[in-house]
Formats: sequence, structure tokens, C-alpha cells
Amino acid sequence: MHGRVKVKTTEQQEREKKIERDGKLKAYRKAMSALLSRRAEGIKDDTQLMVSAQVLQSNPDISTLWNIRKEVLLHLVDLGSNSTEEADEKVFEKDAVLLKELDLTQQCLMTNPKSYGAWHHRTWSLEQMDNPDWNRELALCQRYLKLDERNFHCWDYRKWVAHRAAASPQSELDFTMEKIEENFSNYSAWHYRSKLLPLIFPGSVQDSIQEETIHSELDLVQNAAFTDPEDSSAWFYHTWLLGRQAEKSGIIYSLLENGTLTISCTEPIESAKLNVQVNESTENLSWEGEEERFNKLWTTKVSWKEGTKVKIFLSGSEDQYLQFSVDLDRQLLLGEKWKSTNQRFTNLPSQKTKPVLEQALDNCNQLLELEPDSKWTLFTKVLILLALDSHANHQEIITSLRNLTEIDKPRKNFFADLECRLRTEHCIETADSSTLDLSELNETRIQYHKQYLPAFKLVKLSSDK
Amino acid sequence: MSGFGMTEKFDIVFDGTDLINSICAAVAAKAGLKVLQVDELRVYGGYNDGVHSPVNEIDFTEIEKDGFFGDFDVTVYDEEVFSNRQFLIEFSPALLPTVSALTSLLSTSRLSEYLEFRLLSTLYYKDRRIPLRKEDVFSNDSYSLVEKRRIMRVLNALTSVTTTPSSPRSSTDSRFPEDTNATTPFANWLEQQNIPEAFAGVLACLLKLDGIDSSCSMQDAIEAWKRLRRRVERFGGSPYLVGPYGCTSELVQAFCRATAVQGGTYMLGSLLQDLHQISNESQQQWKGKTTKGDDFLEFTTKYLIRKTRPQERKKEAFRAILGTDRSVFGNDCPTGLNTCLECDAEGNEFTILQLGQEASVAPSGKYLVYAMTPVNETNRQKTPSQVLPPVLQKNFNFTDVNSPDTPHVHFSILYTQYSPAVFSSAVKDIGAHARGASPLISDDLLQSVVTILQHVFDNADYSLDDLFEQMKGTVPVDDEN
Repeated sequence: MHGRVKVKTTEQQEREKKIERDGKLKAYRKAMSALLSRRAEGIKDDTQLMVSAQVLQSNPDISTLWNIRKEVLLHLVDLGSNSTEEADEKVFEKDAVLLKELDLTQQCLMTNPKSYGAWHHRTWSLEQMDNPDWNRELALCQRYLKLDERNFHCWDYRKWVAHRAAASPQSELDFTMEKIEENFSNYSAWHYRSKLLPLIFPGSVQDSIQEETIHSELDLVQNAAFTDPEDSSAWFYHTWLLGRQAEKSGIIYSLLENGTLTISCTEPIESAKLNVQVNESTENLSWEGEEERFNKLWTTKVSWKEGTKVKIFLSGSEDQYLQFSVDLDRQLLLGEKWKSTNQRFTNLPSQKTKPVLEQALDNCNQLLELEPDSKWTLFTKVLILLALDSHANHQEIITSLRNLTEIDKPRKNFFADLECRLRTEHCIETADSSTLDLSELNETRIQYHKQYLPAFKLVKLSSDK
Repeated sequence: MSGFGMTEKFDIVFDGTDLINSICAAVAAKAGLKVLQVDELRVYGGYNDGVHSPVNEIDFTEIEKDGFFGDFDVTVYDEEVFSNRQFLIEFSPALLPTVSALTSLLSTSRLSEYLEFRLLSTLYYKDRRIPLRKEDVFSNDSYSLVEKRRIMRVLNALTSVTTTPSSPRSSTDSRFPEDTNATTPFANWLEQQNIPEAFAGVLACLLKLDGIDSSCSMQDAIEAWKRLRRRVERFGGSPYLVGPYGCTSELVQAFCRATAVQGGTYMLGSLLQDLHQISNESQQQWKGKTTKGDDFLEFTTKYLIRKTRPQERKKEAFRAILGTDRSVFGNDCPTGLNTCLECDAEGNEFTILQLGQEASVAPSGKYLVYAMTPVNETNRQKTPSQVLPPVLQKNFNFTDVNSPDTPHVHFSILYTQYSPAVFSSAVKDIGAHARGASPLISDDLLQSVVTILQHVFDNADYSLDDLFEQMKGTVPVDDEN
């Protein structure tokens, strides 16, 4: 009728949508098949670039198309650099072409700011350029992180750009602080901090951080953790701060018994790293281990006469060696790494760190009083107890872990497993020289620190075995 | 007589360009009615909602005569600074909540295009920054770790309750905190939460700012807190907006501009005279004249909305305006847009709004400080000079040496704010009231507008929603974007 507005029924709308979708699908298929067949023919031209750009703008996640672009671009750049001045009017300026790639990736990122393909292509383009504008890239990161401060693609990209732009780690650290102050529930920001701190405040060992810095970071992160104990990103960072400092691989012990030489190490190493010198000259031995290439425990057969002088060390740590004269008895030599220092798997804290940890423990306990079911707080308490004194706090640690299996049922096996490891360590820590009693574990097989077992004359597994 | 004169017919004549009248005029004009707005003063807004004038050009006697502000006590410590024409003062500045009826109206009508608002930078309670969000609690230096946790627990408890009365209580989302229900007194529950006293004071003050007494129920407190949170989250970080010059005068101008664009007529600096009712076809009509010097405009109108002083003149608030040489909040607040909530020894609450160069109210490096406290039964008999100084002296230095810590005061104006005007159709009191003494522009303001419009449109069912609908897109979208 005249003048009435036509209201489309939902059925009609559905039909229209379907037609639209089918149309899009048809166009997409046509474009893709054209691109792929032309590629198969080895065609690398502007049309490939144009068509792929159209498809990528609506779907930036098709890696194949990005790679096709890379192939075409490399080809065109090659052509351009080989062309003489009288050739094409189109002067091929590499950077100008690659700038277009940056524009394209920027558009694609607006569609999907988390597209692996787009970020990677951007990275690739910048690497190809002669004079990339790093400041522009930093500004881009700034903008994207404003939109979504948890976009890990962007954080990763920023790290790479900051490195290329030679941005000072301190200014990057300040940036992370800004983001954390806006919203501390941000894994990426904390993570980036963990990468920057060793650069700005390096500790004595490589990749470690100065003690004072760890203390101030602990203070900062506790503020976050207390404000919102449910936020795991803060606790994760807290855990990392408490973590054991990375140590170089070392020899735990060597054992010579009945013609078998056993060397035990803290980390799995290749047998080529094992150096055995007999009477000052290197022996060529064939080693056996559970795994083919990397093992913590290596054995070999030797037939050395009594009185032979043997020296054992790992490549790269010649100063930490074990030395003995062969005799007929069972010879066990404990190395530098035997239960780390002070007979504990976790090093005792320094004088400066100890009060900081005690304060942190106190804080956790106070928080647990308010919120006894806060699993992160309880777990962190376990880690602090470990860091303070794994030996003395053993019972409290085990009790807390038992609590955690109740509070956080979905992860009960994680805690049970951790308990097993810690108990193993405790047994090793408290064992006398010849017997290792693991019966309290009630396990039929040992999962942790197996490399320690041969050191003991007797290993008890369970009371009825 | 050499004056210029005309005669015209209008639908509505508004006496006064205060905010309420101006909004009414804009709506009426948009609805197609012919509107005339008259004001005695040469500026929009009247003394209550307008007049941002250089401080040394103010005629206090004139203002006293107007009747809404009085008992002026002006002291100039620094003549040169006082004469600086860049100090522009208002008599009752206010903050606009980021989520409110008026804010919605400004965005639906797009009148916000005519205005420039800034987010209030910080909210302080006494000398501590008020944490409104998780992030504020995190970066706050004055609370210990456990105190922070307790504060967050209180805030979370307040936030997680849904209090819609219609929906049946579902087990998870609408749980009131343990051992409480909708009617439990809020203060009782708060006391048991063991939070630092300072923060309890903060909460009480925040609620008070929104018009809620601390003796309120859990339900009221929770709803107030949710309003506050929504406001904080709207633009991120602060619940209040500050308009240029202190807010209200610019709002008035925006609405008047909208009225003029729709064909409304303005006569500023004009007096209304010779008003009398005439009966015409059994409908009420008014005839009158506005004059400005020798020029005049004679009019007939169906409706005449007058703003009159209330029969009983009561004190509403004690206020102060200070010009200072630095921010009272220290280096923490360079933008100079801050509010702090204070209490004096007797527990009277003070709101202090500090504006700086960014709000265009003070010369570079100087600040304008507005302080106010509502009148209550204990201090009603007092004067501004008796009530205000103790709190002011705590924060500002009134003697004229360069004080190292507290800002030095260049001039101070203490005064009383009296009961707001009442609107009448010149036949009867419509039941609407002008903006009273509150540091916030509340939704009551638009309620008054609706009441007047119900009368003017002769429609008892006219509602706020109708108002929004009518004002939609008052400012056209700029197509050349």
C-alpha cells in the first residue's frame, strides 16, 4: 500500500544474509584459487599483491597469503635493484614498497589485533627495510597497548622494537610500571619486567638480579596480590621472584664400584661434556644412560688399577673437579653440587633477604587469616617457607600442600606431585651417608632426583617391599 | 522617546536565564514553541548559575539585593593579584557526575559539542587520596597490605550485590554480606569490617556527597556505591566532570544557544515590567514589557515562568572563595582540578573544590579554591566568618608571608547561600526549585525541569524520557568529518 514502510521479516533477513555470505564465500574461493594457481605458475606480480591484500583485509590469519606476498616482494625488490636507469618509469624504492606492507598490516591489525600472520609480516617487512622508522613502531605499540594492554603479541613486538630502536631498558621499565598502575592484572607487563630487570640491575651471576631490586619488586607485587588475591598474574610474578637462581650444571657425585664409574649431574647433559683424566691424560670412554643424548646419570665400565689418579670434571667448569686415587673399595666422591649448599636443595637466603622473606611470610599469614581459602596465598606461603629453610619448615610445607589439595581440587595432583618431590628432597637432605629411606613416600617408583640413588648403599622404598 | 520598540506574541516567556529556565526554554523551542527569555543581568545564568566575572569587578551589594547570596565578608591580602582579570569566579560552582540525567541529556542532544569538560583529577579525603578503584588501592601509599585487603573486601562486598527489587534473589549474585539484609544499618556493618578509620570516613563522605547520610541502610549504601562506581568507570578514573569556569555558567550558555538556534529570543540586561493577566477566549494570557534603557519589547504570552524568592528565606550553606598561589594538594596535582572532603572539629563536612589554569578560572600558577559546608541546626545562627575559618586556616595560610608548606591566600570571600528560588507560573507555585547548595548537580535539577514542562506543555504525563526524546540530536551531526 502507498506510504507503508516495508518491514522485512526475519526469514527474509536470514535469506538475505545467506545470499551475502554465499557471495562472500564465492569471491573468497575465486580469489584464493587465482592466487594459488598463479603462484604455481611462478607468477610474481602486482596482481598477486593486490588480490592477496583484499583477502587479507577481511581475514588476516591466512599465513599462505602473507608468504605469497613475501615471495613476490623479494622478487620485485630483486628486480628493482637490478634494473638500469633507463628501465621502467616505476622506480623501485624498496623502503617505499615495504612501507605499503606496513600500512597493510596496520589495517589488518585493526581487524584482528592478535593476528600472528600480520605481526610477523610487519616484523619481516621492517627487517627488510633499509631505514625503518622505529619511533613510528614504538608509537604503534603504545596505541595498541592502550586499546588492549594485555595483547601479548603487541608486548612481544614492543620488546623486539625496543631492542632495535635501542630504547633504554629503564624507559621500557617505566612503561611497564605505567601499565601496571593502570591495571595490574597484566601478565605481559610483569613478564616484560622480568626480562628488563636483569639488564638494569644485574646480579653477580648471569641473568640474575640484584638483591635490593628483588626486595623492592616483592614489595610492589605484594601490593597487587593483596589488593586482589584472585589475580594470578601478580602471584605468578611473586613466584618467579622467589624462584631459585639459575645455576650452572655441576657434578653431584662420582661413584666407582666394581669397575663401574657413575657420574651424576644436576642437569641433563651430553656425555661429551664429561671429562675423565687418568694420570693426566684424557680417557676416551663410552657412556651409557637412560636416554640417548641427555642424562643426569651416566655410567661406563672401567678397568683401572689400584693407585690410578683420576680427575673428573665437566667441560666449561674445569675448576670444579673431583679427584681421587683408585682403590678396591666403593669410592663415592661428593661434588660441589651435592644437595647444593648447607645440605639443602634450595639455598638459604642471604642476611639481607631473610628478613624480607620473613615479612612476606607474615603478610601471607595475615592474609590467610582473612581469607583461609585463598589458594594463591597459601601456595606462595609454601614457596616462601621453602625459600627460607626447606629443612626446618618441612612439616609446615607438607601440611600446607595437603590443604591446597583440598582447596584447589582441580589441581590436586599438581600439589601431590610437588609434595612428592619435596619429600624426596627432604629424605635426601636428612639421610645419613649410606641409607636413604624413602618409605614415607609410599611410592612404588621414584620420580625425582633419581640421580641421587646410586650414591646410597641402601635405598628403602616402602616398608613392605 | 527615542527608544526602539516592538510588539510580539510568544508562547512562553521565561524570567531569568538560570540553568533550569534555560533548559526548559531549549526544550520548548525545540518543540516548536516561541520562546522569550529575559534576564536582568547582562550575563547568562544569573548569580546562581552564571556570572563568571573577574573577581574585582563584582558588586557585592547588588548580589545581596538579589537575595540568594549574602553576608559577604571580603578580604583582599594582595591588591595586585585581586585585580587580575583572569580570576573568574562563580558563586555556586558544581561538579557534574559522569553518569547522571543531565550528562545523558547533554550527550543525547549533542549539546556536549558546545562544551568542554574535564575529568576531576583526584578526590581527596582530608589529606589522603580516595581510592575508588582497584588500581587506586594498589598504588595508594597510606594503607598497609592487610588494610588494603580489608578495604577491597568492603568495596567488593558492596559491588557484588544486585539490589533490583523485582527479581527474586538468586543464590549467587544478590547476596547481601553475611548477617545483613537490605534494611540493616550500613554503619553497623561497616564497623565490623575492621577497615582503617580513615577509609570508613572516606566512604561516609562519598555517600554524603551524593546526598546519602551515613545512617542509611545497606540497600541505600550499596546503590550509592554502585552509582559511584559506574561514574568512575564511565571515562576511567574519576566520577565527576568539571566544566569550564566552574561548570554551571557554560551549561547555561549551551542551552541558551540551542534555544536561540531554534528561534528563541533573548533580552539580557532587561527588566520585566507592566505584567498583567488578560483573559482571552477563556485562556490565560499575559501581557508585559521588557525594557533595556530606552528600548522595549511588548509581548503577549500564554505562559510566564517566573523565578521568585521563597517566602521563607533560609540559610543553606556557608561558602568561601579563595585565590591562592599554589595547589593545596602539592605537586601531586598539577592540573589543579581536585576536590577534597574535610571535616571540622564538630564533624561538619566541607567540600573543597580547587580549580586552576586548566579550568580557565585563574592566571597561570594561581588557583581558585571553593569551599562549602551545608548549614545545619548547630551552626545556623552563625556567620560565614565564624564557621569557615577554622577549616580554611588548617589548609591555607592567610597571613602574607611566603609560607613554605601551605598555599598563601591572596583574597578571600566568605558568604552565605540562601534558599533557592522557586518557580511559579505566576499563577501558582509549580513545585520546582532551583539548584540548591550542593557540590554536585543532581538529578533533581532535571526533575524540576520536567515539572515546569508538564505545566507548559499542559501534559501531566510528560516525563524525563519524553524530554530526552525531544532533545535528541539538537545539535546536528557534522557531515564533513
